[in-house]
Amino acid sequence: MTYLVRKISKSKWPKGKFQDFDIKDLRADAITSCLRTTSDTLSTWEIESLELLDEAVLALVANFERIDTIDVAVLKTTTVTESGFTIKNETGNTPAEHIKEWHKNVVDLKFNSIGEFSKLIINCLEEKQVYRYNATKVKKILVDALNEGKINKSRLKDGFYEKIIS
Amino acid sequence: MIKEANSIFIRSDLFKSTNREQDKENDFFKISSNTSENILRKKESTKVLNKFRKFQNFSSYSDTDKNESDNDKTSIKIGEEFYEIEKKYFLSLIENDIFEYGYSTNAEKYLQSKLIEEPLKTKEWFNTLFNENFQSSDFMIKILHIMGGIDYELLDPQGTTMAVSATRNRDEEVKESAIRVFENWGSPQALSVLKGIECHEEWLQEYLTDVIVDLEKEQDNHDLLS
Repeated sequence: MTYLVRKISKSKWPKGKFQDFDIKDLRADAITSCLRTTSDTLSTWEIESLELLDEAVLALVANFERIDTIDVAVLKTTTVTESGFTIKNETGNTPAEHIKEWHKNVVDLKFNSIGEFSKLIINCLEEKQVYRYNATKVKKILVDALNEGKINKSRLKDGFYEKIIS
Repeated sequence: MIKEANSIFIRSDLFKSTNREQDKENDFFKISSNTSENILRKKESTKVLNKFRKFQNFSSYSDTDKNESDNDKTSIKIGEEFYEIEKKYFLSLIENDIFEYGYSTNAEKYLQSKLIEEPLKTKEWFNTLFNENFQSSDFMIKILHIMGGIDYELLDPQGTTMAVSATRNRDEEVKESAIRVFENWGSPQALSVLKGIECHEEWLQEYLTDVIVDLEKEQDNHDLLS
């Protein structure tokens, strides 16, 4: 079973009582911050199993400029496709070369479909499929990746390597 | 103040020209600081130009300068106006930046450069800005995002006090942002501050506990090495 991984900010989403939550009450910031599209497309990273979640996180954080705690939502690919979304391959932009081809776009998004996708994120929250990677863990993932040669420091943003090793 | 090569752009309205009532347009005008004749676009800029010339001669403004002469009072006033410009420029950056964890903002980069260049005055206006906007959750989250990306030594001691006060904010998202600041800083005071925080939401309390555990491990490792 494969999963799509997307970075979100947990603080902007409902914290409980998910069954009773009306999607119309979802904060606008949750959508504009966490589901910001480019060309009506949402970027995600697909993993073959949950054991590979750290790799998807590496793909995300290797593009960072500073080390911060992040939250990632993990959605079953079948749930996304069965909800009517179209997924397309597109080579990802990440210094983690070995996982560039894991990148997937959720395409052709519109007003209604963004709302539907929000519901999928809320389901993830309810099913505890949103994971928080705190700054220490993010740093460890990056340090390990550098040591193992999974990322080259020359591909990191200016000044980021110094922050990782400090 | 925005610098471009040898020229400086200054917002004319901030110097309160007496013709301001007729001037509906807030305009930047260009003053070349390296030529004997300054180049001006607006007639009423003469008063501003004179003020700027005085400021240029006031080369080392310091908050320890206590000379009471009229010239110094004028120079100090110009200095204060100058820092008001910096504060307003910083605010304009915040307005236009997109805040996302993992990424620095232009406001963060600007503040960092000012803290290195002029630490005393920068901390002063930044602290004032923080206090003025404490009730605005949105603004606080952005300010704390910025603070989390800057070394705590550059912001200390005001920065620590500001972040501590933010941990007491009623809004849980502001509290989370403040916890993130201490997590990123990993400063000596961070642990004691974090242990004093109370969170009502379970997810936030879990995060806080994780951060405390991580910082304690880091402190233990540091103690072992020293």
